[in-house]
Amino acid sequence: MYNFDTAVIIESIPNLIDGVKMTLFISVISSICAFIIGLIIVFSRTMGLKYLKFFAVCYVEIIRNTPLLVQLYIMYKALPSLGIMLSPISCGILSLSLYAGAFISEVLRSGIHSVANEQFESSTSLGLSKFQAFTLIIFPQAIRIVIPPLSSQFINIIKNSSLVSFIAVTDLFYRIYKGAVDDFRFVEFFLAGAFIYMMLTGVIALFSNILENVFRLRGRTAKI
Amino acid sequence: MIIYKKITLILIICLIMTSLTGCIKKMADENLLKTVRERGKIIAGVKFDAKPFGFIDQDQKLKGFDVDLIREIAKRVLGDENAVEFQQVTSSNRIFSLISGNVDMVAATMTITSPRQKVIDFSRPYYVAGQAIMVAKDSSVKTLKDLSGRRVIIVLGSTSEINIKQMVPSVKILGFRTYTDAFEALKSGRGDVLTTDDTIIYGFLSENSKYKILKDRLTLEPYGLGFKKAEKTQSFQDAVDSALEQIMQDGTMAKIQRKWTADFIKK
Repeated sequence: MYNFDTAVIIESIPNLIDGVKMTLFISVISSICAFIIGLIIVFSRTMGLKYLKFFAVCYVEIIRNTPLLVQLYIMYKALPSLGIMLSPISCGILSLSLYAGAFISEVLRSGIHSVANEQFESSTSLGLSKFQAFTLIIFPQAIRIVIPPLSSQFINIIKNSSLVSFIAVTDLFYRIYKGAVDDFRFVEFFLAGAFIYMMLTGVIALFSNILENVFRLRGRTAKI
Repeated sequence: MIIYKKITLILIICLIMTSLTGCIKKMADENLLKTVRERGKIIAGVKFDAKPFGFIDQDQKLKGFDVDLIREIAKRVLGDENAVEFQQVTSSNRIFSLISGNVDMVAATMTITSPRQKVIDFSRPYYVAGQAIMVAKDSSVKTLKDLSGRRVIIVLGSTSEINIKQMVPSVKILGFRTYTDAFEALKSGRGDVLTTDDTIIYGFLSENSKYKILKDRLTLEPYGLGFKKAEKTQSFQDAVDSALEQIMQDGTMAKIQRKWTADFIKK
């Protein structure tokens, strides 16, 4: 049937490794930034003042309800006309962080809501400030509940990072696409690409399963 | 009860399977020429963003050199110049469109090269372009030598990248998927120069006065019609080849060429 040629893939492995480096660089930095953004947003949404809450809701709903590619193109193509010129890589990192930050804040919020309100009331009645109650009491309990959905968000960051190839960042997907169209080996390159992305995200999935077991709350989690 | 549930489940699965098989396109068993005749039209891949070869004009109609050429071919193969369905292809997906059988033929400013000839078949060349460099009018890039270390915009899947890398190895390449994206990147200053075939650059210059084309031509780019490499498509390819031969002999080609290149290309 199809004449499968592994030689073209083996030949371009150094090239693909460079792409993996770029993809990892963008994903790791975006993940860290997105987590910080998520934390700030979820704190201002659950504990913050009225105006902060309003701002946080607006941010989440605007970012969550627009496609990432559109946001990326706004950063890359629309901002230069307004006088803000960011390099393609920073465009990619910024839009990925903003996008994933909105989703991560929602994940964290669901975790925080699953912690009983009495805990918050008793901590404040013991004299803890809102910030202390959040960081010391509520958040440590919430985070272990949301480990699986949170790691899905990090997996999504890696997968979504492939979109930066549209703005000429030489990440893994750019190299795969270029290899495919230059050598006309579409099946080989796209399958190899899917496999490499799976390896990258698989590490996170594995890590998340381990963490989930370590932080399992006795008596709280249903045994299935 | 459980047995009933299982039976309904199996029935539902069967239903889904049968409805899915309907989606799978029928592979052309007989030869392509016969299929095209039965269908009553040729499905042709052209570019929608490469003025003057294939582009959408102000009244939202597809026009251009390649479009006219395919209409002439349809007139000679099927007897009706409107018996064509145009599908958009780009430099990076035109060969895939041919191989996967989405289009019968491709006329999309495609240069005849030997790596491509291993994968698809070409007609005889119908136009010869040259790879050129486009810069902003106030740019410091004057000749090919000034390019070292500059950011060069190309379209992925075209011959431009290989050629420019051979001549000036130190350039930084920015690759985009479509000409629209590539021109946009040059306009917003993402790259210093853009390199592609001169014909396409002239098409762009006709709408943008702030840019110019450099005198140097890097290569000659003979354009050919692309066909899928297979026994079943050979008959169709032969028919188109003889139609192309006629078009070149009877002066129609010269007419098309005058119509589309006279306004744009002032050599």
